[in-house]
Amino acid sequence: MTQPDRTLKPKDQSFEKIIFNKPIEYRLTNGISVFTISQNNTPLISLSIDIKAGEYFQPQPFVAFATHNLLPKGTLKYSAKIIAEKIASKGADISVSCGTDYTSVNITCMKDKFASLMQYLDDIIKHPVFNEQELQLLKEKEIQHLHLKEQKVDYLSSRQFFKQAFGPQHPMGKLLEEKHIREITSTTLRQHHNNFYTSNRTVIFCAGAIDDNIIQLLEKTFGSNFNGPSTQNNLNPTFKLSPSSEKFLLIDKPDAIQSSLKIGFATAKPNQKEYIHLKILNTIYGGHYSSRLMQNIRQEKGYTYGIYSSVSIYNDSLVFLIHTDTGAEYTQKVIDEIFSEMNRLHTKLIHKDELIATQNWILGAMMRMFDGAFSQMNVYRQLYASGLNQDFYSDYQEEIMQITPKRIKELASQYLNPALMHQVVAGVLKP
Amino acid sequence: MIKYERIVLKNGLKVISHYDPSTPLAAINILYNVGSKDENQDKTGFAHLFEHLMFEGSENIPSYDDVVQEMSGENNAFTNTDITNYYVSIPAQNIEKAFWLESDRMNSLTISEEKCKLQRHVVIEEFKQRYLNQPYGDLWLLMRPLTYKAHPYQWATIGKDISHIENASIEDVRAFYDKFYSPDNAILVVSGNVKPDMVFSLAEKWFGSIARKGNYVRNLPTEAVQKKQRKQIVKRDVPHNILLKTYHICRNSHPDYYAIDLISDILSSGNSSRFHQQLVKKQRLFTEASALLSGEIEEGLFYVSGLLAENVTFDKALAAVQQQIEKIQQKKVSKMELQKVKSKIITYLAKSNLSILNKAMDLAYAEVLGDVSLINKRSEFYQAVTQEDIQRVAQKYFQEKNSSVLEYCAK
Repeated sequence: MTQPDRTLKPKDQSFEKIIFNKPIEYRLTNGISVFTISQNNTPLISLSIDIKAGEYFQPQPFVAFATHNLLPKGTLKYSAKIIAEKIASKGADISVSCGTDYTSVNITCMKDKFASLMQYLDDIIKHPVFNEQELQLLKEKEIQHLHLKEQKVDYLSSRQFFKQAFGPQHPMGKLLEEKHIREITSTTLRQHHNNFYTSNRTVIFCAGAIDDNIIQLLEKTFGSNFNGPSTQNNLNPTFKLSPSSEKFLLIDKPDAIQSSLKIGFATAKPNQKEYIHLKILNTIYGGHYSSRLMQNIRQEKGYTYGIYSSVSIYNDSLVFLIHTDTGAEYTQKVIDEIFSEMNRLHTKLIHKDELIATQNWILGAMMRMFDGAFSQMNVYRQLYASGLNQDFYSDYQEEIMQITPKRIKELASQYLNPALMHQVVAGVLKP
Repeated sequence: MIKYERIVLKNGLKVISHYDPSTPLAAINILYNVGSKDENQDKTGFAHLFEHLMFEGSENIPSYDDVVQEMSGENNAFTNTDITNYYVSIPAQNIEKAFWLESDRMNSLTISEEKCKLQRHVVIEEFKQRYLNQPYGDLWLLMRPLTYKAHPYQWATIGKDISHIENASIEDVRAFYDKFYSPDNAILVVSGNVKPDMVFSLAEKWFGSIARKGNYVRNLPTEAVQKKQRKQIVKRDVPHNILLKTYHICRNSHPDYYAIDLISDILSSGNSSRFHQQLVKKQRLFTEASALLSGEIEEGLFYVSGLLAENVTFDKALAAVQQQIEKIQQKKVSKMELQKVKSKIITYLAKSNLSILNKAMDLAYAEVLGDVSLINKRSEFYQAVTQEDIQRVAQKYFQEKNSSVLEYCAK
């Protein structure tokens, strides 16, 4: 058989504009928003109840985490065992997760089981009892986990970075210590639950095989006000960034065979357009596999298995962060390359081809993020939690086609500024 | 139900197409039927090192990554003991470019001394990051040689030792490519918004002319039946003790496999499981404990692992695990408990059908197991498992003489 002409690269077909499917919003009687995205070729439903009760709002570390973790571990009507049994016997998965802003209860199940799960969800969110034995078990487990994490250079450098960048009094910068876990009481958790797990701090997302019946069930279960009234005055405090003046910190681990590096900074959340531009700059610099950091430090030099940078929004702050693990003998070289790649973006305009390749990659990534109702739901949850509007990705699509090399260079000089960067190394630093 | 069509090209390449018009995307998955089990015992870690080299350019495409990026794709790969699997997800209209890309590296990979040296470095950093510089990172590096004495599952995919990777020569790499990266040793799956006719004609065009290379016939040493429990104790600078216990089980394609999988769920899936209720909550011997299958194609492992609670001895922990195993062997599991773990699997299977990439990988895996139609039979097989099956397989496989124990102690 003859070979095709392999020197001829097949042409890409021009990109159609991506149409971003938007959720439908319903309002329950008490004002809770329910955002739904339907998909008709699956028997599954996925429900997320997101409550603004995350780490930002906790009086001390571990409170938000412990509160949400114990939600399904015993309620007024049901023991932890019964809840676990009943939910599992419907083939459903329940998970709880705790972020900086929101904590969530997520459940995925077959559509025909949805109604039968509502009574448990109802009690889990509204009437957890914070059973002492369960709290004790959680404490033991989390103390062990903390000991384990404290042996990982990645964890050590990461938490120290947040302390340096936000300041030790900021909720993002306060380090979790064993004493926080030991000292916590169920009274503190009950208080946190009562103050923050209220209907006016709740939003619901639902994707998959949705019909009217499901909205009615949600109305019946979550449509009247629950929890509260709060005993705390200011439920939405703001915190000042007070970054450390020390820009470099070494956590010495002489036996480590790799060092973990975190370099970056925190600043006030920019406007949406600037944030989009920063995301584009970050993609070029270290945001994906073909980024400059990855190509230079992994693919050309072989110093690391992977190196990435990210820009993220946490409540009212923006965090830029470069992270990598590298052989102890390469640590200084990697730091030098990180800064030299910043400098390259300050001094030289990005070539047209690199910009086009970046545009293509970002558009493809957006298509994948929006593939199917379940992925879309997670995108909209994320936007909601970050205080970004639902048009974010259509705006992003416009901006990516319009941004100029000059703008990228300007932005790099402003944000990828070595003077802003906190450097934390956990491991070994050889000159 | 996943609909698919399948053809085999003249050069032996198997091609499977699953059409899903509900997405604008397509996934292309190529599975090479080679894993670390096919390695020479003095040159381990090769299949995985080779996976890295597959991204270092081919005859007509100097940079694989650049092409993926310009066609808005995302790609990755993994290697395990059985297979090496590559995938890329792209907007469906760019499908031909993906065929061009994947066929060029099957047809003629560029293998240079320089690239080889570089990826050795990257893989050594990966070895350190994931296995050496992590607490408990070497758990399986120790457990595999304890459990297997003849079969090549005795070494981990990353390799026995960093020196094997350091010593990998360019000749070794070339020989590996010629032996295993042949069309008749590969499975190509396309899922997503591309019709089967299109998939098959593109496959014919871009892959049809690639010549068969080696003629690899797998002939692996068989593991003798274990006659006595094995035990190893190690001390490491870690915060807490971990217990790991393995049992040899059947091949993935054996009918018992599904019952064993359900046992692992009965024991440790979720907070209603026996381990959580008994070992963690009631007896407070473990902070967490799980029972899992290694999931390998040939005779693999069922294993129990757990993080011991403070001041609990290994003997006590082992006795408690043994008690749970004996309970399964001696007392029939209730209908309700069995139904519970089956329901969870049905939901799990529905979930895995949501992503075209998952479907593509699952199809390729079913094919490498020997029969692509397995993809739609999995839920029947689980449903068919009876209370008696659970008891029978527990008695058959979970015998002390068939087990190995690793006590991983904190210094």
